[in-house]
Amino acid sequence: MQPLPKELLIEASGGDADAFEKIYRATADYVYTIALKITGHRADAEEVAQDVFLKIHRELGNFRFESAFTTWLYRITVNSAISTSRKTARRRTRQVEFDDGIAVEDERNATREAIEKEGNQAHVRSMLEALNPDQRACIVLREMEGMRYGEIAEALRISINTVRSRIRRARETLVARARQGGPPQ
Amino acid sequence: MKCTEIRELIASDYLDGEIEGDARGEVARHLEACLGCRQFEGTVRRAAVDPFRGAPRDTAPASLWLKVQRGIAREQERGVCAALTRAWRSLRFPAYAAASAAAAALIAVFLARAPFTVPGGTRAPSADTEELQAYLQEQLSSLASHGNNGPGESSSGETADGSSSANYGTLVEEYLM
Repeated sequence: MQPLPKELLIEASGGDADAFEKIYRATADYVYTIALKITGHRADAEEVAQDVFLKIHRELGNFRFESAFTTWLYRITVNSAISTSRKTARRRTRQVEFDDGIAVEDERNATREAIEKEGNQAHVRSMLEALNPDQRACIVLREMEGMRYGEIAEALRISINTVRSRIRRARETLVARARQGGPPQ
Repeated sequence: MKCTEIRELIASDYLDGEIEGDARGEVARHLEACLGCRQFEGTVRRAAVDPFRGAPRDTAPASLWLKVQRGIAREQERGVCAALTRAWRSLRFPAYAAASAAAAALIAVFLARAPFTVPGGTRAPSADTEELQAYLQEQLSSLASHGNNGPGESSSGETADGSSSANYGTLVEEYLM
């Protein structure tokens, strides 16, 4: 995620609706993607993203620029997504099956490219489901956002060693899963 | 380093570019010499790294912005209601406070002026009661003096200090005396 201009953040914190919409347009896909990868469910991800932007709107006036806005945004998003993921774990499991059914139905008329894309997304989703929410958050920030360990540690307010440990254990879990006959490597 | 240490680094720092210099060189040399660790590195890449790195970013649904806007509007409405409530309370509070203060002041005055008993059943002397007793004594003395030296009466039995010791001769006067 690219850093946002400080002037834009100041304008939005002063109640400028257009400035806030620009912030939303620049960051919504990032927020939604992280929320979706951690929660595993579109409705939950949408709810998380909504909560994140309402929180930003509410608290932007108190933001002191002591850390990067994107770091704050990642922190709010990941914390909200992990919390939602834990609360709705059972419901999500049932709903993913429902979503998969819809995806299979949609694929009948989809293009080859779309099928491959959907296949990759389903593969990634099944891999993430094998991890706990904390490991999932670290993997998403590392692999999909390209963040370094130090940046992840700062965003999640944990130590670098904890980040390292979560990523290593997540990968060991995925390797073990692949060896046991999981999805094709 | 042993293979277990090398594999821990492969599954984290090495593949993520978090180690450099001598440590990275040592892992690289180990991988050249150790087939098992080399195979482990390939497995980790295929099973746990590459699938994520090729994954496309999701697009936030169009409905999300509408929901955010509605949520902001709701919060602003709640904020206005809360501000009005606070303003109403701040307006009403002085009236309550003034009424309470006035009531408290009246009660305090009443209690201060009212004679009250102390344990044992005797009245506590106060400036007011003493003043009242003195006033009554003065009036009684005046009545007595009228009885002895009243208007239109002849001076008879006048004492040395000018007061009168004679009475009016009625039951009321005697009662008052």
